[in-house]
Amino acid sequence: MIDQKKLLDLGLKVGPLMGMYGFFAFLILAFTGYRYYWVSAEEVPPQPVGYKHFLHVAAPDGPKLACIQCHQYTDKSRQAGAPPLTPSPQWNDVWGKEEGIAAYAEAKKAGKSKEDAEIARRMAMKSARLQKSGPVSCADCHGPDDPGDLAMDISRPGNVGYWDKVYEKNEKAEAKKVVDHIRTREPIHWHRTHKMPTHVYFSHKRHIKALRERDEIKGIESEREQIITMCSFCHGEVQMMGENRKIRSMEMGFCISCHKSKGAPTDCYICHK
Amino acid sequence: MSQINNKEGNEVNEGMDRRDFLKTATAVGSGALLASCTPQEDSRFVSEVTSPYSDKQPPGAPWIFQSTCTECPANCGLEVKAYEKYDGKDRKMFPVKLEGLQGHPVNGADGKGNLCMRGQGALTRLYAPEKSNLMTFSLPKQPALLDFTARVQTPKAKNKDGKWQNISWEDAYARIRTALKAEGKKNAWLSGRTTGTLAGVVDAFCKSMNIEKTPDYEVYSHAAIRKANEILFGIADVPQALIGESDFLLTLGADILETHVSPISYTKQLTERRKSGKFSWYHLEPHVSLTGIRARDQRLVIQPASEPYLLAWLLSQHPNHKSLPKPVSAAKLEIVSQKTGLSEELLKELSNKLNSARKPLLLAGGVSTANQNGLETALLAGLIQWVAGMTNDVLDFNRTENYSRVGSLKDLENLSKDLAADKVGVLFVGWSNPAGTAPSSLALKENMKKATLRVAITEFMNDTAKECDVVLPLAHSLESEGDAEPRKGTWSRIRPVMKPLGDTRSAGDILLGLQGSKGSYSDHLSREWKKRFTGENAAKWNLASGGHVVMASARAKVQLGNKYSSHLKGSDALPVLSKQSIVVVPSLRTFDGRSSVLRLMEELPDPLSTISYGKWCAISENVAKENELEDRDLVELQLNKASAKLPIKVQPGLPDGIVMIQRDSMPELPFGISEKSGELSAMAEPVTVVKVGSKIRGNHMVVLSGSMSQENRGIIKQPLGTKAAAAEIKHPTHGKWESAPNGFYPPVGSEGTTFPGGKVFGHPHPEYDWAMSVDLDACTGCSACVAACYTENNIPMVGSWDHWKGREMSWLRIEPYKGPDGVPQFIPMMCQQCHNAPCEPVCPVYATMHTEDGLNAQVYNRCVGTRYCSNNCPYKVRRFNWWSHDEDKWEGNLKWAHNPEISIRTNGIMEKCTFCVQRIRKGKDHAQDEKRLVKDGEITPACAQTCPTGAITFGNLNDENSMVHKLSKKKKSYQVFEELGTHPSVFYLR
Repeated sequence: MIDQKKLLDLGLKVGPLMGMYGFFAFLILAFTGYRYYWVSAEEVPPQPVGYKHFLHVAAPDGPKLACIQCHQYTDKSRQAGAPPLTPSPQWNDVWGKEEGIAAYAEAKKAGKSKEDAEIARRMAMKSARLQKSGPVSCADCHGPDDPGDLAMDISRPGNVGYWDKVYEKNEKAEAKKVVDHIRTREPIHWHRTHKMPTHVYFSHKRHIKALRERDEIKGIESEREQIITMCSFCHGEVQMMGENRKIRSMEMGFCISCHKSKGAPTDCYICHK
Repeated sequence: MSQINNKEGNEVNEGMDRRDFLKTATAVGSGALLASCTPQEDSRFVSEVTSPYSDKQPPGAPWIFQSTCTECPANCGLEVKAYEKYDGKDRKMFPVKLEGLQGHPVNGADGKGNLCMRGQGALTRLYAPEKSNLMTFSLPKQPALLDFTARVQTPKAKNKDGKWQNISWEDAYARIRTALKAEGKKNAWLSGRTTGTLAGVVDAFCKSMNIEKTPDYEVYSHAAIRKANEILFGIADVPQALIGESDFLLTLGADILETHVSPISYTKQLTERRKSGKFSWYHLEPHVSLTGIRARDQRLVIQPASEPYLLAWLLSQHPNHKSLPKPVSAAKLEIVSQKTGLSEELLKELSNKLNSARKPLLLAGGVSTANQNGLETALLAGLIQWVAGMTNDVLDFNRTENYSRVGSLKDLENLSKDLAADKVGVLFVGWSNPAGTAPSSLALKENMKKATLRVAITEFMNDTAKECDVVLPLAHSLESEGDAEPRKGTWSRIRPVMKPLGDTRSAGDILLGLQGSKGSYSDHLSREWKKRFTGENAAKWNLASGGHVVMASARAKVQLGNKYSSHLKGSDALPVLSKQSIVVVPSLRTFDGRSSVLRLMEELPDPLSTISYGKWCAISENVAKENELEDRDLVELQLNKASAKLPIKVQPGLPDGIVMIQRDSMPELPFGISEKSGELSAMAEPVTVVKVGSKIRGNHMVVLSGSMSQENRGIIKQPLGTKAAAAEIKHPTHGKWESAPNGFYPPVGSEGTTFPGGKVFGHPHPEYDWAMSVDLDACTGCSACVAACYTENNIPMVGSWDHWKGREMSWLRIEPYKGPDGVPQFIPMMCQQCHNAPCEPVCPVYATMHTEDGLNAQVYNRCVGTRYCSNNCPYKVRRFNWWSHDEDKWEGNLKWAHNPEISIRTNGIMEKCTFCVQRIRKGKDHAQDEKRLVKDGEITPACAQTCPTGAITFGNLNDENSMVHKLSKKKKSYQVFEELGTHPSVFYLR
C-alpha cells in the first residue's frame, strides 16, 4: 500500500527540484537556441577569394604586415577600408620618394637606359613603401614585379607571356584568383564580417586615436604590435585566423562594458544616430 | 472650364465606399505583417582596382560635387552631397542632400550658399518613382496638387490602341526621322527656357532638320516687362535688379521673396541691405503674399490693376519728369487716391520717399503686370526707372536675367492656330508642359491632336506628354553634363553626379542623336567651353574652383526712345478692376506648377494657409463671416463666362472681396491672355462666391494649423517698444529667469550649469551647451528650412490621410499666427531642446534623456511608443511613426535619397528635431582630431544652412564669444512659454 503521506513528502521534496531542473533545462535550451540563431544570423557567405590573415600577418615566413597597411583608413576615417588591387599613385607622393630618386640616379650612373632607370626608380619606391610599413595593395606582391607595368601591360594584348610569369609566381590557387582579378581589372566584392546596424554610429578613427593615448598601448614598443593589439580588442586575434570570422556579437553590452571600463563617454548620442 | 468642374465636383463629393474601406483595411493589415528586421549597413566592401579614396576623401565619407539647380529659371549654384551605396551589384554614387554653392554668383555671392524649398526638394524629382502609386500605407484616391505624374525612364510610344509601349532609342529616332522626311507641312519646335550651350544646340538642330523654332515657353515669361523695355530702351529682356545697392525699394506686385525671377538672390540682397541701416521698402499688392508680410509696416494694399494711375502720378511728381522726350499725362491726386485705394497722405509719402532717395529702385512685376493694364504698368515703371536714374545704376541692362529667347503667350497662340489649321507635321515639345499650364483659351491640348507626330522630351509623364505619340525620357540635371546661363554673361556648370537611373539621356545627347551626329554632348560641350572660356575664365570654369564664371563686360548706357507715347495713350483713364476680383498668384511650393511633381512639395504645407494636400481658393475673413463660410466649404466661383468649384480657406490678411488662388490649384487659367503684352492674365472680375455643397473631406484639403490665433499666449511676441507689444499680456516671468518655477528638476548644487539669471540646474554641461537663435524679424516664412530638414533627416512623407489625422511628420514647421493688424506672422517651431524638459520624466523607459551637450536626445531603439512624451510636450514638436517607413516601404528610387548618417525609424517610435545631431557629431569629430573645442560657426544644422535670410544661428551657449550667446543676451530675445519653466535652448528674437 502506498503511504500517501510519504508520497506527499516525496512530492514536496522533488517538486521544487523538478522546477529547478526545468528551469535549467529551459536555460540550456534558450542558450542553444540563441547560439544557433546567432551563428545562423551572423554567418558570412563564402568570400570570393579565400584570403588568410595568418599568412599575411603572423606567419614566420610571411610578409608580416600590420593591419593598418591594408586597412589604411583605420586611423583616418570611420571605415577602415579594403586594400586596393593595385597601388594608388597618391602613395608615391608620401612613400619612398628619395629612395626612388637615388635608385634612378644610380641606374643612370651604371649606364642604363632612361626606361630601365625609370623601372629601377619605381621598384625602389615600392620596396621602400613595403619596408617602411606603408600602405600596400594586392598587386605589390601578387602582381608583376614592376608596379609601372600594371598601368601599361594589362591592356597590351600582344604581350602573351606576360601574365604567365605572374601566375607562376603565385603558386597557391587562391593567390591565382587574386591575379585573375588584377589582370581583368575586376574589383573584389568582399562580404562584410562585422556589420553595424544602421542605427549605430561607429568610427574606427575615434577608437584608434583614443586607444593610442592610453598607457597600455603606449607601453608596447613596436608600432605594428600596437595596432594589432588595438584591433584585437574588438576583432579578436585576426592574425591567427585563416579566413576572418566574427568572435563577438558586437552588441550594445559589449560596447558599453568597454566604454565604462575605459572611462569613455556613455551618452546615448555618442553611438545612436 | 467645364472639365475642371466635373473633375473637382466628382472627386470632392465622393465619400468612402465599402469597397474602398475593405481595400484599405487589407492594405494596412498586410503592410503591418511586412515589418522587417533591423536594417543593416550595406553588406559588401570592395577592393577597388585603383583606390578612389585618399586621406581627404576616405571611404564612408560623403562626396561633394558642384552643380547647378534646374528646378526654376533662377539656376542657383548647387553643392551636392552624395554617398556611395551598394545597389545589389556595385557601389554607386547617390546624391542625398542639396545645398547652395558658396561663392556662386546667383545664390552664394556673400560666401553662404542657400536654396529655396523647391531647390531643397529637387531630389524627389530625381528619385521620383516610375509608377505613380502613392505610398504603401496611403489610402487610395488621395488628391495630389496636380494629377500625380510618373518619371519616364525609357522611351515610349503610343501603339495603335493608344496604349503606351516601351521602345528602344533607335526605334524612337527612326520614327521621328521618318516623320520629318514627309513633305507638305512644316515642323515645329517648342521648349521651356533654354540657356547656355544647349540653346546653340537647339538652334543648330532646328536649322539642320528644317524645323521652325517657336520662342521658348514659360508661364512666367515676364512678357509685359520685356515688351515695355523693348519699347522704351530697345532691350527686350528683364534687367538684373541690384537691390543690395539701393536705399529705397518700391515693389509693385513682384513677389521677390517667393518666385519672381531669382528669389534667393533677392532675399539675400534684401537681408544684407536691411541689416546695414538706412533702407526702406514699400510693397504694394492687391492680395497677400509672403513678400508683403515681410515688408510688414510698409505693405500697402492696392486696387487690382490700378497701378498705372499710381505710377503715372509718381512720374508726374518726380523732379526729372520734364526731361522725358514726350510728356505723360497723369490723373489728379484725388482720382489716383480713389482709383488705387491709397490715401492722399500715403501717396505723397511714397512720392517723397522716391524723390528723396539717393538710389531708389522700383520693381513692377508678378500680378501687377499680369492683368489688362500690365503693359502700361510696365511702361510707366520703366519711365520712372529712367527719370530716377535707375536704368544706368541699380538696374543692370547689360547683364540681364537672360529671358531674351523666351516668347510670350502670343507665340504659343500662333502655334496653336497653325496646329488648328493643320499646318504642322512633327511637333517637338521639350522640357515644358504647355498643354497643362497654358490658358485653356488657347486650346493647345485639342489643337495638338492635329499634328502628324507629336514628340515630347520630358522627365515626367505630364499633360503634354500624355497627348504625344513618342516620349523621349530626359535625364535629370544631376545625371547629365551641361551648363546654364541664368544671367547674360553668368555661366554655371551642370555636373553629372550619378549615372542615369533609367534609360534616359540628356537634352543635348537627344538632339545630337536625332541629327545622327556621332559625338556625345559632353564632347560638344568641352569643345564649346574651350572656345568660350579662355585665359582667366578657363581656370574659373574648372570644377576645382567652383565651375562658374561671370564674364567681364563694360556696361553700356541705356538710351530712352520715344515710341512709348503711342502705347500710353489714354493711360490716365484706364478701367481698373473692382475689389471683387480673382487673383491667381504664383505658388511658392510649385512655381508655375512644374514643381508639383516633387513629392516633398505636397507634403510641406503652404506657409500662409498651412494647407499641405489639396487645391483651394482663399477668401478674406470678413467675407467668410458675411456669407457664413468656413474652411473646406465647397464653393462655386462664378465669373462672366467661366466658373470653378473649389473648397475655400479663410485667409487672414487678404483684402475683402479678393479671391486668391494659387497657380497650381487652377492650372489651366480660363481668363486668357493680355492682348497688349502677351502676358498671362491672372485677374478677372466680378467674381461671386456661392456655397454649393457641404464641407469636403478633410484629407482632400488638409489644413494643418488648428487656429491662426495665439490665444494671448505670446508665442510670437511683438517688437519691443511698439504699441502692439505694450498691449500684449505680460506673463509674470517674461524675461526673468530667476522667477521661473523649477519645473520637474530641482536645482542641484555645484555640479549644475548656471543659466542666464544665475539659476543652477541639474544637468552639467562641461564643454558644450548647444542652443539656437531664430530672428523672427528676418524670417520670411519661405519654408526652405522645413524642406532642408526633411531631406537631411530622412523624414518620411506620409500622405494626405495621415496629415488629416494630424500625423504629419515634420520636425520643423512654420507656424503662422495672426498679428495685431490681422496679417499672419511666422515662427519656425522645432524641438526646443529644453533643459527642463517635460518629455523626459514621463518616459517609462528612459528613451528620451538629456545629453552632456544640452540636447534632448530621443533614443529610437529604446522607445516603446507610449507617446506620453508627446502628450506632455507644450510645444507639440514630437512626431510619432504610426507606420513603418523603412527603406523597403519607400517607393522605387526614393530610398536612395536616404541620408546614411541618420537611422530610419520604424513604426511605434517617437522622433523629433535633434539639432542635426549627425552634423554636431561630425563637427566634434573634426575638432577632436585637432584637439580643440568646436569653433563658433563650424556646425550648421540643415535649417540654418539653407535659410536665405540667415535668421537661424546655431552655436555653443557655453562659449561667451559665440554668436548665439550674444544673441541670447539681447533685449529682444525671448523664449516661447518660458513661464512654464522648461528652459528651452531656442531663443527667438523679436
